[in-house]
Amino acid sequence: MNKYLFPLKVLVIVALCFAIMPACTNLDEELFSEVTADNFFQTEEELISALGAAYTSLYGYMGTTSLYAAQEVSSDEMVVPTRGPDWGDGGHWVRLHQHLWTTEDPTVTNTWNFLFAGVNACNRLIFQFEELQNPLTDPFIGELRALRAVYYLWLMDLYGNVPIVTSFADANPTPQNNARSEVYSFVEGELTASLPLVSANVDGSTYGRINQMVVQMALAKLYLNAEVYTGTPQWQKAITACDAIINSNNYSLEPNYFANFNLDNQGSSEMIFAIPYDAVFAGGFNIVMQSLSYINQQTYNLAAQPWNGWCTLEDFYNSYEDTDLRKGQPNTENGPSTVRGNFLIGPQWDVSGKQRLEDAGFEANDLDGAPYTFRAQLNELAPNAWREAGARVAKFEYEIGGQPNMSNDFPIYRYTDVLMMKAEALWRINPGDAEALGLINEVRARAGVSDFTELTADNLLAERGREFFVECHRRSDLIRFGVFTSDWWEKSSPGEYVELFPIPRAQVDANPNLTQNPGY
Amino acid sequence: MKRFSFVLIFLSILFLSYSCETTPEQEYRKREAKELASGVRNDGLFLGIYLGMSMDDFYAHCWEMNKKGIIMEGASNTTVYYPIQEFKHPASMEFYPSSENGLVTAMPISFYYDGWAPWNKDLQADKLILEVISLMEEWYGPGFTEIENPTPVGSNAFLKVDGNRRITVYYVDDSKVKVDIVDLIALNKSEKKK
Repeated sequence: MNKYLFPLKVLVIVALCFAIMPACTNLDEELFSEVTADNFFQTEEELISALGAAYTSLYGYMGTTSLYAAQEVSSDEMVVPTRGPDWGDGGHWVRLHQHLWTTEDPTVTNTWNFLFAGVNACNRLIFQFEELQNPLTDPFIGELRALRAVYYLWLMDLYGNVPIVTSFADANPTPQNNARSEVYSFVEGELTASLPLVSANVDGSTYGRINQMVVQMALAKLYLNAEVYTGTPQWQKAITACDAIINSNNYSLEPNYFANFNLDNQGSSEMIFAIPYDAVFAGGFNIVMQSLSYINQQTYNLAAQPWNGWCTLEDFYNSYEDTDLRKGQPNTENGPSTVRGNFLIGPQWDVSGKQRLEDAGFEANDLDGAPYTFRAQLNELAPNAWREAGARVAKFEYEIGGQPNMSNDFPIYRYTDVLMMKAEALWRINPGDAEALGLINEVRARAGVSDFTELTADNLLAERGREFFVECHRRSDLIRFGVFTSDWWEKSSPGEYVELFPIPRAQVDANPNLTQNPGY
Repeated sequence: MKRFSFVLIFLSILFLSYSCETTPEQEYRKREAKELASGVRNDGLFLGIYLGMSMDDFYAHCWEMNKKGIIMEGASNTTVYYPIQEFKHPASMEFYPSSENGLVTAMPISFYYDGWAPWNKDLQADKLILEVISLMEEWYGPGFTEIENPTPVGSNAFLKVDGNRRITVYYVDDSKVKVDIVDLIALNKSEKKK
């Protein structure tokens, strides 16, 4: 028996080895904590969580070469001079200022990509939600349609004739451009259709999300610019949309203008639609780095040295009266200003406010040598703008000890704009409209400046500029008032075609059915 | 005694076999430990940049490349932009290193096709990732392991550990693929400090 037992033992052992050996190479693991279509998107909370992907796309709004640059640096309120070795960047900042952009410039390309990435995120989520065939998803699909319409509103504003793509799975691989008027109709139709579907709540549950007030605001923007987009003005419709927001009584003017731009501005009574940026979890807002100088690291104890770039134009700075609370007071030789303003200007100080900042390696043509002093004056656009030239952006509160990414929320839409849009629409219908004048003077009163006695195109546009500096409205405003192609500092107009940006060259190269905008 | 031996051998094999049934993470940890134990350093990255490079040298090197028009600033001015010539379609990469004690310890890189749009199905990230893998193999040699993506969105990830250098390639969204290159020695030192 024993002589048979040993081979049997070996056989059993070998068999067992073979039986369990696959475990050595099978690295598949049953996962219970992962998100899949089968185990997610089942409850309202999970749907809201999934919805977040559409909103995180918005973080690119304030990217250095994104929509923010397209709206601001192409306008008369912001410039990025070439300061010796800094901000040359192949000349695209100078071209953006002078309206000489090319089809390959980064702002042209990145803004397009940012906006279509947002459209795509909405399309993908709409597709996934529709697949679920769950009635719980209806309001979220409405919300996504409205958000997609907002992305298309921006695309239409900047590029005009863009393809309308609403399908994720079956999108035409080589779509043609849609005419700007078609995009207008699409945006209007989507916003109108989604209005009853989205939440009517104006509270923490819809903060930073599309609700009915955001949809009304997008409609107001659409109608205010309708003449630019389609050739037919829609002033009365703009007024109706503004009235829907005003009469909701959800919002009011903040007594202090800067409450809208504080670090904790999420509580502002003006915030209709905001991007809830966060230094750690939702980065992308870093104007502190773009605008301030290296030396201002000491002014705010910043974690990193700023890049010494963006500043306002001298004429724009001077468009504020000295008593305008939005302008603030400049620093002096005695210390930093105690009156906050939209600008950081004058002698620069350290965080204690006691140490005057100096640049030992000051430029040979520096007007006051080593002491570091921001001036409104810009000596030249390129290549050797002074390092200290130009009033810097200080509208948003800078955190002492702050990171390169800021935690202030960015107001895409705020209530003051509702009042000023309504005023403009009323004025367009009747230049002597008393309500329009009253609305503008309400805003001016908060800024501590005297009433206008009448509204004109010039004073209305200038007031919008002062109020909405750095809020990404300026280019559209200049176009609507017909002065985007006017001359300003170091810029003359190459022609009206620049009122639309070109479709990026890479897009035209990849899709033969896309037609470039006229003039490019 | 013979029966005892048989049981002992069987249990040993059973134990060894079960202990062999590792999770992907355990399997990865073993591979990482083996690579680190080899003592091989692979610090090369791309464009003359390397793990362990001082940040001052990195800035100076990038500044020289910027002057030559090889690189530019990226989309948010927080990255370096470099156009990729090697792919079937025009593409770009953006990078900016992480550092510790003034030395480059990791290099996150984002890749995207310049002509990406929702409708360009040939320019989506699931196609891009294959080209990125090929580029990584060209730069760093073959040996990437595919890791299954259990979520309904995106594509599988790829991993290679090569001495002290770990390279991970993964899908970010429909337009972007990310590559994270990490100096494991620096990473482990940093984690021990925490």
